Amino acid sequence: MIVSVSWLRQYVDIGVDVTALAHDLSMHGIKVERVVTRGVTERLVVIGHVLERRAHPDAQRLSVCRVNVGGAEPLEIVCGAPNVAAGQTVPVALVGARLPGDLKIRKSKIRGVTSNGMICSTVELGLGQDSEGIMVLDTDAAPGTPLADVLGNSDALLELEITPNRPDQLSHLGVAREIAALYGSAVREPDAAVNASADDDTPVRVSIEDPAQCFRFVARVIRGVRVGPSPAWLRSAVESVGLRSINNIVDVTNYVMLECGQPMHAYDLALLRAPEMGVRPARGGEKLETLDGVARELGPDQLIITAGDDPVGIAGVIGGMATRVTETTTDLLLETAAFDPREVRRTRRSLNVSTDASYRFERGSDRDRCRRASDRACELMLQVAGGSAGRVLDEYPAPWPARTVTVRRATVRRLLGEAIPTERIGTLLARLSFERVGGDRDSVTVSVPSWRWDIAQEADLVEEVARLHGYENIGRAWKFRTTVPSQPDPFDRFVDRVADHLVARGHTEIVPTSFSDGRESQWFDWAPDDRRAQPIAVRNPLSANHTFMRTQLLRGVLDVMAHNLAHGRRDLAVFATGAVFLRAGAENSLPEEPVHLVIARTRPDGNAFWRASPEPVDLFEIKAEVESLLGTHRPGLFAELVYDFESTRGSFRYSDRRHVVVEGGVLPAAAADALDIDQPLWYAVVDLSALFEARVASVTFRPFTVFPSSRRDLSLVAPAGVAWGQIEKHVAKVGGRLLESLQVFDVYQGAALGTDRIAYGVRLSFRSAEGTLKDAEIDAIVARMVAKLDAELGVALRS
Amino acid sequence: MDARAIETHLRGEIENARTSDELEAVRLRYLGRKGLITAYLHGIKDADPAERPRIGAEANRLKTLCESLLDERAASLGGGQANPLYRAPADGTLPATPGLAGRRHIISQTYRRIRDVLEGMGYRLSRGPEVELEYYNFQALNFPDEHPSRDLQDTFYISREILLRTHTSPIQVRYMEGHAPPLKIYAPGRVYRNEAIDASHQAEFHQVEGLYIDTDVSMADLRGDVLMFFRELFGPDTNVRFKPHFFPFTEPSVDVDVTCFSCGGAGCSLCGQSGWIEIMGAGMVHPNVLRAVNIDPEKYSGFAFGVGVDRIAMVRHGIPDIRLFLENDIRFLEQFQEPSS
Repeated sequence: MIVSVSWLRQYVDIGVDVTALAHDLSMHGIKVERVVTRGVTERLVVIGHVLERRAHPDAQRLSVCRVNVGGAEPLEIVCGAPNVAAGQTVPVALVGARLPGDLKIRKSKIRGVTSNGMICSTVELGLGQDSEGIMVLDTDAAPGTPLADVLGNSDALLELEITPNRPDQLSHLGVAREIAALYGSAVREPDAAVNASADDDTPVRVSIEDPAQCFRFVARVIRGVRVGPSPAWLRSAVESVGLRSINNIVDVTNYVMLECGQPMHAYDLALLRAPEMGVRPARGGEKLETLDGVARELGPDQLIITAGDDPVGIAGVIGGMATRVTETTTDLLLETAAFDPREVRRTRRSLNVSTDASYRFERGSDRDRCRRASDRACELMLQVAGGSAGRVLDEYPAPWPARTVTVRRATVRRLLGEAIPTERIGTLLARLSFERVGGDRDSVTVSVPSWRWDIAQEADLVEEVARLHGYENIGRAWKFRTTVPSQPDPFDRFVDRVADHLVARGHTEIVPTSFSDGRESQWFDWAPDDRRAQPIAVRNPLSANHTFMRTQLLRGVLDVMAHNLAHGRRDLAVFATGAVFLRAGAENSLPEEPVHLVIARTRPDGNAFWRASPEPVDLFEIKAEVESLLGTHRPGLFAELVYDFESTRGSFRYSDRRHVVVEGGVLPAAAADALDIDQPLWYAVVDLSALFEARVASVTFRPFTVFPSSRRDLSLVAPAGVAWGQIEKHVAKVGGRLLESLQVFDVYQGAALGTDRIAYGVRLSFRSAEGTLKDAEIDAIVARMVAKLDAELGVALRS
Repeated sequence: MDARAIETHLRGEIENARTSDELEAVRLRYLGRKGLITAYLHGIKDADPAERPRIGAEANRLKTLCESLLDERAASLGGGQANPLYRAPADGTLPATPGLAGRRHIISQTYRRIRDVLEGMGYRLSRGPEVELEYYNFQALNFPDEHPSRDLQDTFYISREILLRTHTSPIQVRYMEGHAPPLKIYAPGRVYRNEAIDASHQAEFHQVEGLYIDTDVSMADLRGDVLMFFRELFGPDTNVRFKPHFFPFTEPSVDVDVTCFSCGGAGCSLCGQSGWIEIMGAGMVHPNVLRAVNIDPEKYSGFAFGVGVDRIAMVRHGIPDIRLFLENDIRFLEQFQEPSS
């Protein structure tokens, strides 16, 4: 909210400058987000007389002026405005002047001509929104006089952040109360003296259907007004804080709202079916065109104002178009009411509209002071629009429940860590209009003013004491009694180590979005009952890209890779960790959020390098990454590798008995097309939560043997259709504990073997913990291996 | 060959020898049994007797010179002993075999710093779901239904009761439900706000929350811990100041400013000339929040604070646009080398 400092000064004395005021307010009450000075405060902007204007020798649109600014010599100034002419009185920003927008005026050469300042437009001075050219003044002031002295009315505006608990601060009086509390001074409330004419016999009636929805309704008649433009003071007051001036009547309602926070609405009495005002929920089928020109269908979700049972306004939100005050209005009915904030909020949300009135009402208004606000508005209306005050009907079925709250000195000390004497507690609260009505040496009981309905319990008063006392006056303490030695969270550290491992192997961590547009379900062959194919939808997404919660990390990673490829980074090795969201159980239960890891790599074909170029990324490279990770963090656990040979997409899985722990493959063609990725990309998705579950609790040392190992190289010929993984399984099983390692050093396929056969060069290494193995023992094992391979797979020794 | 010619060749060949092997060959060529210097000395017997002393002296000089040049060159070749495990490259200044330098994301790096500081201060990690019940995100944190305080945090809804958490504070409630005081936890995680995305607003960002509940925990303790936290994080010259604010789940509530990193408090464009940067929300846990988890606010009190990881990274590293974090452009990510300390 914006408040004007000069307006505030009507209600409270401010003994400090605006900068200090802004600082003090921020430190003790209301955060000042910005201070804007209005009008001209820069004293280096002065009155100048244009003595001569001639064309710029080198630029069509520019002219060169000689301007008398009160010095001994006129200044030569280059000007771009079409309307500048000799004989004009103009504002001139001298060298060194600072103008709004952080513009600093310097001596400068413009197309070869030196300019010693700037002739200003209203825009450049921050005085207007648009301009045809320079500002031409009508003043007798001598050249060189600061413009600020000529214009007078400069002001400072404070842009305040008013938190939702403090609707009382949404007005100048409210802010003035804070300032008064801050400096211990007094607030001057404007008098509201109205002489209501007793002989008005307008049959005004007010009927409130439910006092829980409408606490109070003051209806007032004012007759014989002349609606027209507002006087300058009123117009400039409402415009100063950013409102539009409409006419004198509407401007008064806005002025009073800005003054004391009470929204109000004036109806054209002649246009009401009857002056019988009502407050009730709308009935289905009722319609109302509101002041914003929207014809609205109403229903029981909306609380409305009626006149003779016709809808004439949306309660606390916006008035009706048909009954608004216009130039032809002579008699008014002024509504000043208080509603249940929740009703106003519900109503305005269902209509998807927000107004200055609803903003205040849904935070809470001061129902005790409705009548006072109505009186004040009436007084001002009579002043600016003439007419006479008529009947007033004040229906107040739900009065403000007077409230007292007690704060104990001990509680202040316990919550603030600062001993503040009871007396001072009482004094500080009194400055905020909390009247002390009881208490003893150790406590203060206060009555809560009607505008402070945010104060409900002791802690609320502790805050009031704390902020006026000043947080900077509270000491600092450290309680180490509850401090325990740091015990890192095992899973957090696990994820951290995995990430560091991948970084050390050259991967860059990325942080992808949690959202998805769901397109990935078209790229992968997910069965309909696969939870990844059933993403959780966001009800109110920000955009199509935010439609679903991710069911896999890969999608976001792919988008990031596509982005980087498009920006010329062709060689990418990345990883990401994070939760994915999988449906669990019933519709209304929270999803499972396992933490996943994605590793992904891509590299252009034929990367230019002076030695042998790296191969494009392939299955064996991504397997190396997976096994490096599993080997580091869970050696030998997920030996079971399933590779999908038949599919065109290439995919693999590592699983233990219960979970698929790693799943990976090449980027599917559909995804590559959609993302414009034109080089091989391989990925692996690791279920980190599952991997963590399978972690080793502790490791016990196993002695290693001192006996030498023996090596055997075999050449095995396998028929088509037998995969190495099958051979390996049998070899490992027969070799048992004595088989220390097994390596494939060659894979050969060629004419010499005949078609459809593959030869593997295999190196076996045997070692025993009990003693040196004899050749005969090893030969026997190898013979059993060969026999087994022949029997099971038709694999033979190459002869 | 006369002595001058031998010396010229000798110097050239030693200079050109690139390996110990080559140097050895040079030695043999000059000092070996059939070497040039040896041959020169042997020439003495065919020489004029008057010339003989000069030839002998020259031969000795050449021999000494050759040995010293060989030693010198051997030393410069390193060791002088032949290295069978080394094959000299044609040109060692050619570029290295390509490899990628990995990086942690700046968000992870920043989180890690925060985590390490908080763990050092005795806070223990606690976490909670990102898709959260409305109850934990709002109701239990003293956000009344149909109250404008809910507008402070524009919310993504999954259903009436389920939403994307708008802050890490629901973790406080979940933890307090399951644990009795004293409690001292930190709670990191991703949070969501349904806000139009621009340079300073992102629909997804990261927070870390701290919570400490015990008997007699006060605002002074909060001031102490927050000061210690930021001094550990930003350096010993950092100061903090508290300003009144409002959060539904704390009372009193404060905004915490820290000394501007850029100007050290003198005032600059980063801090809007104030010398301070707004960086944290904090306060004393609201009695209503304690009551909702059956902790007696007459017996226990405590504080909570929360910081934005993204915000800290932005002000710390001069990152102008929050969208850069999720965009993950390598040109952005690779700039943030992890500091050694």
